[in-house]
Amino acid sequence: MARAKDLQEAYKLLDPRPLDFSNPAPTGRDVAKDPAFYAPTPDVDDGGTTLPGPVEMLLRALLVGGPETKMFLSGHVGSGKSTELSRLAVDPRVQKKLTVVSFRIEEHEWAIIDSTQLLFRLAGELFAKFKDGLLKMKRWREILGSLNDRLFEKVGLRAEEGATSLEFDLLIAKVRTELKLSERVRQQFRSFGETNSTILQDFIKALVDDIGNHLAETGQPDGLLVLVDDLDKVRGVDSQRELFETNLNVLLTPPMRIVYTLPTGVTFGANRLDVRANTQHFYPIRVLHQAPKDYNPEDAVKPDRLAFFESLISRRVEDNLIQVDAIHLAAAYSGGVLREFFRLLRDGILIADYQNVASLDGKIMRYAIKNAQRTETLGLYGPDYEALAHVHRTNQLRSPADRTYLDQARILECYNGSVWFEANPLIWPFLKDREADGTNT
Amino acid sequence: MEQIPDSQLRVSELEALKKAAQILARGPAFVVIVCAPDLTIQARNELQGMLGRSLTAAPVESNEEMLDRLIQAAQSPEGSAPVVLTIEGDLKKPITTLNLHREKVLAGAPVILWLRDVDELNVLRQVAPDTFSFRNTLVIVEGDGGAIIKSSAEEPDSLVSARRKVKRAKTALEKAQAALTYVQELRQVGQVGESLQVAEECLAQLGTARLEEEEQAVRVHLLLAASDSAGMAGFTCRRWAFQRSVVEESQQLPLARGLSVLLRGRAALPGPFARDLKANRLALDEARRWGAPPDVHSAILNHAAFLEIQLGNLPRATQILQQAEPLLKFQEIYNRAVHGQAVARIAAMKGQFAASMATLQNLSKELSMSGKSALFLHRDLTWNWFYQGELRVAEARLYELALNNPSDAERLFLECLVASATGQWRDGLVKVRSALKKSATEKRDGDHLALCKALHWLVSALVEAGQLAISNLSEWVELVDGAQEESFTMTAPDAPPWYGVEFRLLRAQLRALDPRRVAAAKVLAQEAFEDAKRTYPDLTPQNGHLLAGYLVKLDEPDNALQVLSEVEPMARSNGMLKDLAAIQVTRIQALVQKQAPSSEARTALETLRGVLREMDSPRYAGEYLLGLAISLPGGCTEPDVIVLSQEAALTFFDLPMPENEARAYECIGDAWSARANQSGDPTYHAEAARYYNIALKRLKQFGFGLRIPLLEKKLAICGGQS
Repeated sequence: MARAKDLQEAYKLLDPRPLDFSNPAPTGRDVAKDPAFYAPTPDVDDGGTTLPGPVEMLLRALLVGGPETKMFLSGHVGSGKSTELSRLAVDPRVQKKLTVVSFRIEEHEWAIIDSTQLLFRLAGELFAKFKDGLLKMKRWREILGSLNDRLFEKVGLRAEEGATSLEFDLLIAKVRTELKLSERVRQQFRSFGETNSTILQDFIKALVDDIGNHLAETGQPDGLLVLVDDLDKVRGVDSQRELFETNLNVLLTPPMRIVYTLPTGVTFGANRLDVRANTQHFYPIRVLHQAPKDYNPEDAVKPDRLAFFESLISRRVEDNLIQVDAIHLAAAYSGGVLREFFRLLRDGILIADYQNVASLDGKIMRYAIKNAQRTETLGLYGPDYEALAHVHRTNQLRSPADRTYLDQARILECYNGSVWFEANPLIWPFLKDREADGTNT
Repeated sequence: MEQIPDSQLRVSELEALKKAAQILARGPAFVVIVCAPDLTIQARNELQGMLGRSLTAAPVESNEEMLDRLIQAAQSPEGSAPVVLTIEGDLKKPITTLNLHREKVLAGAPVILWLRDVDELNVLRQVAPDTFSFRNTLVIVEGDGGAIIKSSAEEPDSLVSARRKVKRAKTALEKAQAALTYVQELRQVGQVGESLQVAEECLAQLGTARLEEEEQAVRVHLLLAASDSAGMAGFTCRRWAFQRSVVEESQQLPLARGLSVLLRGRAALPGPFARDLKANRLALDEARRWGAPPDVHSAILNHAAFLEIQLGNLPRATQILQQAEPLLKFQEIYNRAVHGQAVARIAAMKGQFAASMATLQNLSKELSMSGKSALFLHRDLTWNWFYQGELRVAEARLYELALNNPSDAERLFLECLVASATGQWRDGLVKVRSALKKSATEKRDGDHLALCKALHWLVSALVEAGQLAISNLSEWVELVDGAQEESFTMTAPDAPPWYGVEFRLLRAQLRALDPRRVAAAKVLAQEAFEDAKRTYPDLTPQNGHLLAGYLVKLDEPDNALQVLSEVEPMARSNGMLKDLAAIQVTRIQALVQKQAPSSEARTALETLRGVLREMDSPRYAGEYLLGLAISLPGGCTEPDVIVLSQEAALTFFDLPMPENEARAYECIGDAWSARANQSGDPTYHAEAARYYNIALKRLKQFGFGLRIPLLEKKLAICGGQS
């Protein structure tokens, strides 16, 4: 992919969407998803020693572990989880040992998510991907017929007669439509799924078994790895509890390796240390050090991390189109959150355009920072500032209720050997007076 | 309560919508618009006009409808009309689906999510942070808040009751006691003239001879009330006389009875900083030492805060107001409103306009509900609109204020600023001239002096913008010379002592606009300086730095530095931060002129920055840095004019103060242009043209017309095109 030659092109290439490693030569608007833009993230700093990154840890666990391995990947909004997951799918070590099925909720027409739907769709995805091989096996006609009778007929979703694969496709289409359109059917399906999830689970078990055979016969790696992206976008206490606590076993029982993305703050209930141990967290790039008495993010920058941000940009735009001082400013004020970093630069490009200059420098970037600060402080009230000032001062949350600021991306979760929290750098200057006199301004 | 007229969109909001429209026209995009419900139609119509296509919003109520709309957007070809998402009912449900399908907002047709307020924005951030992080831009539309809320047509009960008491009163003492409340009530509903008249009548009836203690006590309170009304009506000299009587006569009362009114009298004693610095600070000290009832103490603190604001000492003003906060709880609304006005003014001086306006708007509503006049708050609000470049709103509010109080000098000053800013400067000059005449006829000496200051400001701005030829300056110089005579006549034989100093200085400043008359300005400033030392020493720092400025212009930098060194300690010891900053600015000018070693200029700049930090106001920082940049030669690199102007431009962009921002760009353009002339490098001309163009763009966006012709000329000289 050619690098951007002017700021207009740069604006397009600083698209916030994840890179797509399944498509090495994207065209049109998707050029911004070109995997060639990928820059390896810096090593994790474990308070002096360097550690493998979360995705590397996750990959090792998948390669070492058996089919029962379930891994979770959480992380700050916009920190690059989806890109890393997409890249994991094409990692040569993975491809040598495992056959990967990527599963993105975004691509399915679900208005909401619950565990039954997830299981059903997982089965559908596996069946769809390997149906040519599976339909050579006679028993699948029977299995699908039985499934149709036992499961879907009871919720009034029986498919029309036809060829087995078509029947299942139709079934999926019908379920999709019904689930999308009718809250009643959705609830019925959910309650049925909760009480009869073993039917679906048995179905998946059989599927995986036969897929494994099929893969072995055709000379492909017979271990299955399913990457389920976008589960981290499940918001709301009730939905998260349904998926990650009440029906957690639904996620854990399918007999194949699975990686799920996970919303931040999910703990899987009080007694699931075993599951928590399988969670990797994707932190923003640690571009700032702890600076409890400093209110200017530029003074807290870790200079050794700036090269990463420069390399991110140099892969996308021609040299000097976005100058180094602009990159450094965007990096500092993004707090290392990549999507925020791109967004700040895009804002800078719009201002450069207004000022009729051909490149983005630090001077113009400062205008974009001011703009972003204005937006970031919207909707903040006195108590919010106090909570955020506390976080900045102590690098800790004042109370569990303050996790809500994590959801809103007003707080970043950081790591340097231990986890600590930091207020969004854009609002640091507004926290200063909160500390000085203990009152609001 | 009258119907509140509809709110209108601000210029800055139209600009933000325009930016959104440009983004939407580029292709797939996700724009979040937070728009007050009463402005939805206006905002949408504007956006439609900018996009050149209609926007249809079908409300979304459920997860499923949200998904349908997102699929529709994602499947629409690029270039399709934007899909507008508005949410009815429970926001969380559809927003949950929006988060699951974030990439659809950037897949096909542009998507606009229309929210009602920042609380909904918080829900979006909370429930759909992934989608929120995909936004291209966020637009906030709050509008101008509509026209001024008028007080109830009916008189408040408290006023009616006070009037009845006056009628019922039989003896002179009873009348005076009843009138005291009545005078205050009248002032609070905005009937200042009548309030003053009633007070003066009662004072006359009460007389001064052989007063009992009770009568004397009522008299000093009436004097105080009359003083407040006189001040508001523009009679500073009368106010000064009343206030001095309060101070003198309250000391004849037993301490327990007279102390409160004595302290109030001292705190409110007029002076060149609206209050007298020494008397005000003495009152504050004594109130702390002796104690005072909560309402008196809080009034003294308010006066003290307003004085510090005048001096530019915002941290000290804030500190004082914080002391007043615990006392406010049981205060009536009017007293709380005055406190709030001071808080809001500090915010405005810092450039925190949103906070300032929120305070003023809330208080104004509260005041109006209780039947009191909130016009004094609306004047402050109008200043805020003006600072932010919202000229249309400022004009509308000024019109409404004029209907309520046609002779308010400050309102007139503001009107002139707005008129000149929009290019209608001739109207401004005519208005000031006729208002000056009227104030002289009505002997409103305070307004008269204020109008002379307004005239100076206006004429300076016009000369600097090239709108008023130097050759036409003498007319205005003579007008102010004559005004000084008028003022003496009006206030004789007891003119406030600072008047002479201030008038001389004004006359000097007007003369100094003509490079050929700077020497004459210096003579007048010198006289004012000596006069200030003799009659009103608190004014010497201000006089000193203005005199030093003329000395710099006359190529006498050493003399200028000497004057500055003389006045700086007083400015420092009195906490006169505005003067202190101006002293540092003038010192740097003198050092640059005498070509002192660059380390000296650097040190002086560091001192200036120290003062600016002390002021704790981004706005002042921008203004003084820009003032310094404008006063230095364009080629000056120690300090670097371009760097100073850029810092100022960024500050004004942030606040926002678009006119000042544009002035900073113009200054950068001037510096590049000067450097082009020095070096002959043609790229410098191009850079100058670029900055002139940015300045022009900003001015045109907000409708500031005054400097546009000059900028266009400068641009043409650089070979640029607008």
